Amino acid sequence: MKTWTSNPPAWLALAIALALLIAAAIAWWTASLTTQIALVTALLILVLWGIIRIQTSISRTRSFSGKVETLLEIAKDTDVAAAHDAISASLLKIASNPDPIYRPLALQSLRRITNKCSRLSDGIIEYSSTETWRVVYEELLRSPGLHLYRSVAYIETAHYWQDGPGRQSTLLNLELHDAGIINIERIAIVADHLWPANELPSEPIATWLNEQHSHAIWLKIVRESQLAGETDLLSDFGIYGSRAVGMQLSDVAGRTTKFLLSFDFERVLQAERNWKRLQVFSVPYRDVLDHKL
Amino acid sequence: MHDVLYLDTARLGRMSHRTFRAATDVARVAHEQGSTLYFDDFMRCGGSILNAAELSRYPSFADWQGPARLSDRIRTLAGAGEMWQVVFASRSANLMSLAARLQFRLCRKVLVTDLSWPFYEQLHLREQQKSRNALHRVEIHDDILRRQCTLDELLDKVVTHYLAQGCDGLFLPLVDHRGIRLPIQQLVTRIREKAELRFCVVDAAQAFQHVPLELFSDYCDLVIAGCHKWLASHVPMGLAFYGREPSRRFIDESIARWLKDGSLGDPLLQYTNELLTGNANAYGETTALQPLLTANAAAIDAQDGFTGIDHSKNREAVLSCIADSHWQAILPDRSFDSQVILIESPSHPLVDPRRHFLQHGVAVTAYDNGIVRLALPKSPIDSHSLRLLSAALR
Repeated sequence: MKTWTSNPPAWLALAIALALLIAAAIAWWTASLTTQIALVTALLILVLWGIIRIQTSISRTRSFSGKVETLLEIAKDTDVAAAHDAISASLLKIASNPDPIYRPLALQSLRRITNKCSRLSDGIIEYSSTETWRVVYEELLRSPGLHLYRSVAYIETAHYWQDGPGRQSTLLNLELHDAGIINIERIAIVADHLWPANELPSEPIATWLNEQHSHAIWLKIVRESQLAGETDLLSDFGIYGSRAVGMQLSDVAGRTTKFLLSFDFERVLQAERNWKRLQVFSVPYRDVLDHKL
Repeated sequence: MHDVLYLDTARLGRMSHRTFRAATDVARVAHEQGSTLYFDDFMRCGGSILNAAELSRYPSFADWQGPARLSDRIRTLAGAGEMWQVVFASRSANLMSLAARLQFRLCRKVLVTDLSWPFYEQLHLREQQKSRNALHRVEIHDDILRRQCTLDELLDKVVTHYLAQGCDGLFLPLVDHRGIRLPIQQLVTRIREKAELRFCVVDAAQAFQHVPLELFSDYCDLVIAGCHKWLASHVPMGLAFYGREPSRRFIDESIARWLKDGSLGDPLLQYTNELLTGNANAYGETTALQPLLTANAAAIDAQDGFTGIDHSKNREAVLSCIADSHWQAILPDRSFDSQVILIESPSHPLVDPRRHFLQHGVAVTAYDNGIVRLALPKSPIDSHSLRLLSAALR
């Protein structure tokens, strides 16, 4: 015998409906007035019940109508829409896998991805690989429309920017500043143990600073201890024009371990405020060279 | 051409006697011997390598003692300390571009005035635009010449603009082409008391050998000058001075780097650098060497001729001639005086004032608006010359 695993075919539904309609007409014709009144009352109750069900259903799906609007907004940006489609396809696959071990692990990973997406939507991009960061750093410095790069170097170790990628970044700074592609200014916060009193900072930091000074990068310098009351200024960041701010985290060997790049204008403004405060505490490096300080 | 009372040094100075001999000998050797390896040796080491016969044939070559000695002489005339370096260039415009390029590497907003020489102003503007940094222009010409403002009033105005606009650089003429002498040292001191001054460029094209540069005071980072006006070399050659401790090294290294990468393309600068360092470039651009020899001769004459002449006597005599005529002197406050006097005659405007004065035996500079510039000579003006001037002013 043939069975239907899903909905029956349309012609069968139509035939049944037609048969029921004929049966109802015959019954109506043969029924007494009392029965007819009872039937109309029952029908009205059914219609009323249906309306209530539909209203309940609409109120339940109201949030879905917002999601439709979101989908329409996303569709306007083809690049983001493509990412959305790919993520949706992955989510469908995840949802269809009921494995009890896989599912909690997947949900845990999804929470991390959600957090990351949330930070991304706040304009923050995070790089954990030094090499990846260097590529992005170069792209940023070379990007059209960027004319001023203000950098704060928080030097806690003598190895600061002395490794391969750090050296390459220094050379990139010098090259771009020399060529007049961007104007670079830097404030160096130097840990006290790396800057003996009445002397220049110790090597190799002094060489690193001298090199930049001789390439006419405007350098200012401040001792870490002078910022004891302003600990929020003790950080390593760069302001790319008025477009982005980058925060650099280094390990004890002075290597960049994490680089956070934010395109949030409020953060850029905050970084500019910090820059201005640091300018108050710092002194021109050339005055230090001039033995004025 | 007849002898004239030459009051046009601010445009092109008269060639000094020793300079004339040097220029003649350079022309003669070019005609008689061309340029040989021996000439390169001579340029490097000086006249001491020539034998007696050569020296008797070209006597002025004994004055040349190599580029280092020329640097010493020029440095002394500029009142600069030993640490100051002198750069020679075939065109002072190339040095102006270099100065602006250096300045906009360091400065984000440079204060300039309406006293800048228009051509230098253009070069400065070009570098500013390339660097995408900013300029702030302060109008002071009328304050000084028309409203006779005092030194303090001028300083207050410029410093106020500097602070209000957040400037961090200065580009000013020490003496402008109309003879206004700016008190740059005092201005720089006032600014440094209140704000950051990252790089100060001084245009001394009208000041070198006209007023003391006093570079020993280390008030500026780079000075641009030339040889063809008040030094009396007559042959143009650009000069730049730098040596202030905080900026000397980066100027040094920037010049070396830009010479190497070809972005500083002045052949004389390249050549003198080769002479001083010994790193010859066989494929470099050919340059005229006459400016080095004439500048050297003019520098010797300038050192020898320092007799402490009282220039005020020339000034008084010329002002007396002007007072007896229908011309009026446009005089600023004494603080801005130089050896240049501007005159005008609103009641008797001349169509071609420069030709009019020359017909009376007086060489002057004339501007379109009827203003005439008189650049007073260093030597005393004799009575005959004063009569020529009086006749021209009548």
